[in-house]
Amino acid sequence: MKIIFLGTTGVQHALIAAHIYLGQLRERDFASLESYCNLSKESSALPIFIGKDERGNQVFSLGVGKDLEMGQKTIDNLVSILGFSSQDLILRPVSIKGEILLVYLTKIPRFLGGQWINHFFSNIILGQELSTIKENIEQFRN
Amino acid sequence: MKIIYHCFGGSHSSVLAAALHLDLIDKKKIPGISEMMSIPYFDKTTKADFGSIRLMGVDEYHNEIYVLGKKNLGSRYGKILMGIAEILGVKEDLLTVDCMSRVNWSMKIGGFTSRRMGWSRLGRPVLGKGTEAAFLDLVNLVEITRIKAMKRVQVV
Repeated sequence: MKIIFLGTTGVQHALIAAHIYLGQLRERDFASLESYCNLSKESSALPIFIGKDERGNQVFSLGVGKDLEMGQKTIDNLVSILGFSSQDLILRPVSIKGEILLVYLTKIPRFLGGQWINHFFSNIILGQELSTIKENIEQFRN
Repeated sequence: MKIIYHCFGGSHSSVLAAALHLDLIDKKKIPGISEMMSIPYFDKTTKADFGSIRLMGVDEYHNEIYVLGKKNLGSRYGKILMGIAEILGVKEDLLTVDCMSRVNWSMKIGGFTSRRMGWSRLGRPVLGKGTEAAFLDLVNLVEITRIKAMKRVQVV
């Protein structure tokens, strides 16, 4: 089975959620996570493989843009059209305050210091919303 | 194979492209607004349809043809769908087609006025003119898609 943590971006809150689910996050040390704020991975729009859980399920993070609900609906439709079900792929939306701002942060060009600005503000927003992400994962586990 | 034509609202260019693919309209004759209105889903969708993948029909090679409205998420949306198909191991069964490159300003303004503002009497004539101007570009897009689909089938 595949588990996809779905966010407005795939390299910030959804990525952190996936790492928390896999027990790979040291307290607030986001920068050590592979692919964190990685703009080239984000622009590829592909699911980012994070690892496997204890049951062997493959865990991914994915960013679908500003409209998370619409993204979830489309992927649900697609999975069904392709002949799969929730037994094959589970989508877990991860929604936090400031999630739209995170999308805009990934759009700032590198030559304007986009990478630095992205890291700086993402660390602040995600640090404040970490408890919300952890609660989401707890609910998902239960 | 599943072929998904997508555009902003899933109401005009993607629906017209899907209709052309399915031979629901004649590709050699530019349709008038009344003929366009007879196409299923054309200028009939609502906000609730955003993000829904809707079946338009099955072509002569048994490809299922769908339409999708993805707001202003651009070509990124197609990549997301292909990525999902890839991790499910069925990438070769899916083809996504972004119709936005074939959409002109008249279609955008007419479509917005008709669907978002709800002023269809005002929007439809503008939309009709725009769609007529974009028609041959959409025919071209569908022909390219058909060739891509045939190549995929041959590869598989």
